[in-house]
Amino acid sequence: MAIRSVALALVLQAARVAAAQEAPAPAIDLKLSGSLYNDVRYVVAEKNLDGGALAVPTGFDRNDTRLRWKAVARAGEHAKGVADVELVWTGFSRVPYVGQLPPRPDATLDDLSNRLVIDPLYVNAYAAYVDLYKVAPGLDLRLGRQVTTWGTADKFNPTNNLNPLDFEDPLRFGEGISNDMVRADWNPRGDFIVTMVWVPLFRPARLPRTAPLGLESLARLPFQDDDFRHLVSSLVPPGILVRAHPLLPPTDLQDSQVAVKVAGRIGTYDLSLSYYNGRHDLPTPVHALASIEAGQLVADVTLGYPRMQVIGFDSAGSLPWLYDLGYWIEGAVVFPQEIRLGVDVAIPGQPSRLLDASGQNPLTVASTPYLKATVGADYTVGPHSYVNAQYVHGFIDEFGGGRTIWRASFDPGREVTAPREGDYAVAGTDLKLLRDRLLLRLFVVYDLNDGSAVVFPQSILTGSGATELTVGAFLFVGSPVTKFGDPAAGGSQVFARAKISW
Amino acid sequence: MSVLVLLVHLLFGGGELTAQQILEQTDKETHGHKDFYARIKIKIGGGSPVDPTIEVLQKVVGGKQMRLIRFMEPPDFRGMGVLAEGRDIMYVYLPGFDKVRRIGAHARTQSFMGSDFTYDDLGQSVLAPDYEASLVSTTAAEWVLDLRPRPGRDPSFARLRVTIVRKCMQISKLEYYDAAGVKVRTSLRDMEFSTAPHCPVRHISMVTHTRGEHRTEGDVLFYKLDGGLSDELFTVRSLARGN
Repeated sequence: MAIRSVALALVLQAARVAAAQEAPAPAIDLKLSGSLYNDVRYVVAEKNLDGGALAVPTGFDRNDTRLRWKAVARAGEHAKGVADVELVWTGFSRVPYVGQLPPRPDATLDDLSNRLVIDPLYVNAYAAYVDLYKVAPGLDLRLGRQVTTWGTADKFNPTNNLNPLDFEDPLRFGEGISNDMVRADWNPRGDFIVTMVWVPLFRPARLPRTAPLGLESLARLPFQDDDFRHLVSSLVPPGILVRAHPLLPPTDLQDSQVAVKVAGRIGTYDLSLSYYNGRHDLPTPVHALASIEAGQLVADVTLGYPRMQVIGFDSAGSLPWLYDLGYWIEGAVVFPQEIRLGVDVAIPGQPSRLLDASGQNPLTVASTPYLKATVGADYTVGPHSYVNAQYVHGFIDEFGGGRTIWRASFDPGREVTAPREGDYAVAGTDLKLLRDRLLLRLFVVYDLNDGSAVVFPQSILTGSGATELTVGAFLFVGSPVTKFGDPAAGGSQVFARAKISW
Repeated sequence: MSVLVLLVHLLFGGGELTAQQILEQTDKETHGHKDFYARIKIKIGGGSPVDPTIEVLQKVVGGKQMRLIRFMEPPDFRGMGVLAEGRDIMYVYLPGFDKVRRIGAHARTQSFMGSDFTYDDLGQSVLAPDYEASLVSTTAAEWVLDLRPRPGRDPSFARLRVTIVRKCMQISKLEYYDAAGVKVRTSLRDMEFSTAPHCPVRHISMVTHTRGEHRTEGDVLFYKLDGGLSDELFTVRSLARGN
């Protein structure tokens, strides 16, 4: 609460400073840039649910055209505004296609004359913020829609919790979605920086388009108590219809998110400590109501966003005694909110509520703190190649201690369990050819627990005039009851992209 | 100033400076100002798509030579910056991710944006602390020195050969050799002689012989010495502010 009050005070201070800077108005230095980007992808292999039903068919998966504009307006030495927006034409009509999965609602004849149905588009706002520099000695403020990225690791940052992640496009590997926030950076001396962030309103993560497939399969039941889970497994028939109802947190001040980070350097090693108080950005079931509608067993599942506190640490630098190897260590201890999933039953002749042996709602996420960590190193081999390797404990979408439980829907008695925070090896390499015009890149993520993997090769050819041509593949390897083989993770695809920047 | 020192030495010091003294005086003439600012248009040979315009800011802060490089053009690199706090500590600011990232010391020999300059060129300014100089030849106009690493120092090249213009005390040619004695790169610097003893560099070229004579040219569009750059510019926080 105290931190939230400080954040409000900073907003008021910013308003005061902005007002003071109004006269005389400095000249605006406006810089514009942009890019045009085409992205075509094709799913090359079908993916089936563990019961055998087709989940992800082959065919074109994406046909985006993206037009991005960025404007940076600088007003003197003390203020800057940034707007960075993108128009995206999806290239797919909203009228259903034959064989499309998941099936779309029927269209009408009117839809065929509606441009937004025939050729849909949406707007991405990457940034829309105002920077105010030196509002007090050493103090900078940033107000508005922004992405604040924390952590020294490469992509897998357990301390990076301020912005929700965008899982809709697997090739972006969970990029941050911009959110409205107030950020204050206080830099009293050298490279010692204290950063405070206040996020008034929670924004959820954007899920993969294949996420609804998770409702098609009952492979994952979150109940940690074995007896209770087995009871539910025996009661739930394969044909149950599951409907998800996400519910966002309240909009009051107490439910806003805050974070603090202290960063500096000791010797040649960069270090930081951070604290975050907010919520996990992926939904988790908090309540289920089982009922029968027109003879069909239905489960209405309410999804919520659990609270969590995160104490983080990171470090980066080079190891002169080991060929100047670059390293990074990033760890976070997460203190999650306990989640007990209320199961109500509105079926005549059945108990109205299912409780565990202790007479409580069954536990799905314990409040026990758990660790997420990434340790990595990189090295440049000669002037044209680069290698990077990381060990990741706890993937970006994983939350809570305990176990992830999979059961095969064709054989409910068979269960596979694994720690919720999995262990992964991530490795990548860049090779530059043709006087650095051609970049060959390969990244692999391997699940050390279940053997599934993601393989991501691509070649990027840079032409004159800031053009870029990319071809590559994003391949999921593993059975349907593994991390990356799960159909909800998406289908293996090849892609081609063309981009020009100005 | 350094030329005055040279004159005093010649008149009262009993002869030529030693090779190491020449190198130290050259370092002082080139980097001995309170601060330095330049805007440079770079042309990367072979038809590179990048050809950036950069700002170079340099100052000694807390006894360390700091250098900040900011990209002004092309638009997709605009706002990108590199902060070199000596040779071992470097940061890059990536505006696309709004993130400052540490550059590992192993990347020192890697090409900077596909040019013939390396990250080590950004971090290294003065030569005398890393190299011992020996005189190769001398004429009325210039000295030629061979530089070899001092014991306990680890510069990127096993040998440098520098040609120094006497009246400007500045390097006009710098040749880089690897441990096998192969000449890897040659840098040429064209300077303004009419303003001697201070001779601003107007054009720099760097040729990498091991990349098929690949060439990078730099035209100094504007420069300013002792302009009163603030220490605060040479911080990670300032780097993250972008242009």
